[in-house]
Amino acid sequence: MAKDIETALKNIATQVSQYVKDAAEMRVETQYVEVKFGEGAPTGFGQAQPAARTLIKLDGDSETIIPMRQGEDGLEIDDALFEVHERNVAAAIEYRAEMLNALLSALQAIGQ
Amino acid sequence: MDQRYSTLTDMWQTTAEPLPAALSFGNEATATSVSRWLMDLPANPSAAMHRLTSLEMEHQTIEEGLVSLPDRLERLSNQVNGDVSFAVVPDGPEKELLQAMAEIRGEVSFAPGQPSTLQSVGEQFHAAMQHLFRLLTHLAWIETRSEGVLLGQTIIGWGGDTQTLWNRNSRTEDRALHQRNLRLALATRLTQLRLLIIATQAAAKISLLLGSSGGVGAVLVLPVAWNYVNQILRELERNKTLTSSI
Repeated sequence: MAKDIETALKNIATQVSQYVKDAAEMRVETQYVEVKFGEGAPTGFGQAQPAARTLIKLDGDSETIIPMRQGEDGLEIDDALFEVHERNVAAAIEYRAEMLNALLSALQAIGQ
Repeated sequence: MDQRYSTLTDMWQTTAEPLPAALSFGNEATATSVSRWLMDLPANPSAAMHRLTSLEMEHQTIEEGLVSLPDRLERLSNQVNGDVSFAVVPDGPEKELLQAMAEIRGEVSFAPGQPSTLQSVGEQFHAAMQHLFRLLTHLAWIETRSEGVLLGQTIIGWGGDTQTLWNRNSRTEDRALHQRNLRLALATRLTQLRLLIIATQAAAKISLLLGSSGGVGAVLVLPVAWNYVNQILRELERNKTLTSSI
């Protein structure tokens, strides 16, 4: 039993170490599908249309592709989609920071 | 007995889903194991909000329990060391912890064929660590539906790489529901890691209590600590359920 537990903990520690090493950049993408309520089964990513994308690098550089639509006076930002995308980016950044902290603490705790 | 602490953990299911190309590294979308969290909410907006609020409060109870645990273990430690007399005999999780410690010291014997508590606790801990490993290695697939109709779907890796799929016809309030569901789902993943950290710290404390008479490595004490932590969380959840039903 002790050996099984040790193996399980070592696997977690190895995976956590690898994750921390790979934390170079983060990509957040937002896509959409048209599903009318009452029409039943939702579709998956295979039928999705791209809306926006943000790439954030560890050194702080970032790039964002924002959603545009054809308005009366030419191209304009799709505010609703962009707002959704911005919230996704904020949630992803927050999650990444908390996860990194938790993973490092777990690595430290397992190593003791 | 399932060591997982509440229905929130049960909501994470390992399933095989076809990943979008960007997350399958350019390979054709093949079924890949993911950790899937599906929240199918009632169509009625009030009922949907109530469901989410109820689960958020359940998660809050767990977080409060984790914060209170070091003090609780400190009080038991003081009692065991004789700093405080056992005016009240420990009950609940503390009682079970003391029994497990007695077994580690060899002060408890079992009838032939009767499994020891440590064996059972160890097996459950091993299963919990395998579950945690899957949680760490699999992408998180979080879906929000309204009586089966997709509102939003997010796939997120441990490092924050995210793909979100929206139903273009969803309303502002529907998008808010998915955001809340997403935050709750991600919070539960973090909590499971924190559980391991707190259990490890508790194991160090329990090892000190065992002292030289223990003679066992931390590896065997850790399942006991994990069991103790989860029992406290279940106790808190039961107390909260009782209080809310009054």
